[in-house]
Amino acid sequence: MALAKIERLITLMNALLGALRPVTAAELRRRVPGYPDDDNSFKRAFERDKDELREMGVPLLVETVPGVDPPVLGYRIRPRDYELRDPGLEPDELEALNLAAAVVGSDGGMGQRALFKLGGGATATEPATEIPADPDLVAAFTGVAERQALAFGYHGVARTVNPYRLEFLRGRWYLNGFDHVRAEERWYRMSRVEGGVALVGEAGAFERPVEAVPGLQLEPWVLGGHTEAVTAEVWFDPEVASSVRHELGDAEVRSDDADGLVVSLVVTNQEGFRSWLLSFLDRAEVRSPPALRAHVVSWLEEVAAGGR
Amino acid sequence: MAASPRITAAARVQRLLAVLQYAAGRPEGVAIDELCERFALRPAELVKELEMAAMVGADSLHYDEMPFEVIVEDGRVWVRLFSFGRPLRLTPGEGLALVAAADALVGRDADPDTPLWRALTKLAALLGIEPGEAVDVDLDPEGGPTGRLLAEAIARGRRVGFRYWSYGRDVVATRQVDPWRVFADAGSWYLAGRAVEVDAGRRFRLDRMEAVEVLDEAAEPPPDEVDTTVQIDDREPQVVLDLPADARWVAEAFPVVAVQPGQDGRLIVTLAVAGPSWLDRLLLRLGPEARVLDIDPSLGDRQALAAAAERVLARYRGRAGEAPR
Repeated sequence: MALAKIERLITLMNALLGALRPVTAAELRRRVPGYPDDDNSFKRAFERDKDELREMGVPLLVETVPGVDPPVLGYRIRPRDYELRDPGLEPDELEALNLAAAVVGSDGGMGQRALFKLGGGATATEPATEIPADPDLVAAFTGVAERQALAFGYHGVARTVNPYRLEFLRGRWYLNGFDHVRAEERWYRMSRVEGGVALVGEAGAFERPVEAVPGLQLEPWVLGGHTEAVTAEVWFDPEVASSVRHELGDAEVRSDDADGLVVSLVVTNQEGFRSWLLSFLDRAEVRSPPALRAHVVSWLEEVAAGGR
Repeated sequence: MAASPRITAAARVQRLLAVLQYAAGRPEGVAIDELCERFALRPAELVKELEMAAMVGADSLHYDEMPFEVIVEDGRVWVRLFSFGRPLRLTPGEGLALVAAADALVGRDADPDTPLWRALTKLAALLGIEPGEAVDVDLDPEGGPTGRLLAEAIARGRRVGFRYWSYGRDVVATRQVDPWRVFADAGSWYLAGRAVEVDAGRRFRLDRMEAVEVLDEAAEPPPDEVDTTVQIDDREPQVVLDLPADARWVAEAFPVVAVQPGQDGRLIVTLAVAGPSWLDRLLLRLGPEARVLDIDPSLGDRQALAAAAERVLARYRGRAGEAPR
């Protein structure tokens, strides 16, 4: 049964690939064996097959058949749209890709499918690590590769973004791009994107910056920042000093001795900073600037009062 | 060979076309066994697919509807292609999967003359992106220097010692552990091992370890099965919180026991609590909009939120002269 479906899909592709004029559904029904006799069943089966072809990446053209009245739709596949440009991979390069795909897996066996197309063989069935990839991420990647704008919701705001770059760090995907609504370059955490990612407008709509964009900063007091930049001085209990230095590196350290660790940080996301600071409970204290300190204190006072 | 995993019809079409294209590149024919090895197929499965391929278009009156000629004889296959000479272009999802896998392994300061780097460069050119720029994957596959050191200790069967900040209890102490396995879960790296002082299996987060040392003592051998899931322990005390709609992330970020809709888009979430300090942190992050509906007596009472805030406020009030306002 499954084999019959594969045969039908190949026959269908063969009938459409390189066809000089669009082929109608009625004609395909005659030429492709294995379709059900009933009209409605045929329609459903044909729709499913078209979806399968598109899912495979087959560029199916839908056009009006010329010289027919009343107008009727037909289908064809242009070889130049269909065919993979030869990347010219040497055998050792293909082997290296095979190994990479065997170690780092992907959702739905996408890497394996790509390797088959490139002339590679099967990879080990159980990769050591998996990188998640959902339809939103694939749409974002399409935007990056095709230089096409994306539309999605983020923090309750509808955005239009020129996507520049995707980065996978600490188990999560992040997108960098130019946000038309905010009129600046931003990083977005893909798992926080709301309502799906849509491709909008034409491909090739913008140029990616030639200079490497500044790297992703995951620090909660910076990521997604939208408050005015202030330099905060923060004290930490000596007991947690080494953990903090591990997290921050040494660049921000002002002093580190028996009295504790003092660091200064440029804060552009006040809420993110507050959450991070409070994760140290009473082992950390923001000392300046006064406005930021007052923000943390009033938050705590509100919590203390609200619980009563 | 094990049975092939279930794959979709679309993936099988792609695989069959790949088999045919590979075989067509060998005018002298290719052994069934070699094809099975290369494409991870069982011989019976492969032969069935090849026989089917030989029949495609065979019923047609037009010779040009036969896309391939396939001959299977004496354990060998000969293929001629009349169509499908070139593979189908990559979909964005396929391109991303390969670029991400390759980028994860070339590392940040890649030697430009390795086969993988050259492959990544060619693949990137095909997709219209810059290698290492448009997609950057940092898997840190072994958990960084700490992970590598622990892996070495496991390989040598040695005990390790480190300073550890136990987040749930907010205690920093020196621990000794017989290491079993280093593993990743939800973006964080962990060590599973036997905590020597309590003689029981424990998990430790690598980023909360300091001054990791491989000790001279031999470690006790690990058990046969090491559980590497980070899961809810239903014996842990629970708390029921009433959260505003914008605190929905709590239900995604932590393993929750139960989630129910509350009033006005609010959310009633039941959480297993790893330790009182863990709960304090969460409550302070959530702020005044969160309410404690019910709490296990071992964690405190419903004033836990206020009490946690008071403890941190004490730190701020202790510094007279720099008080706000």
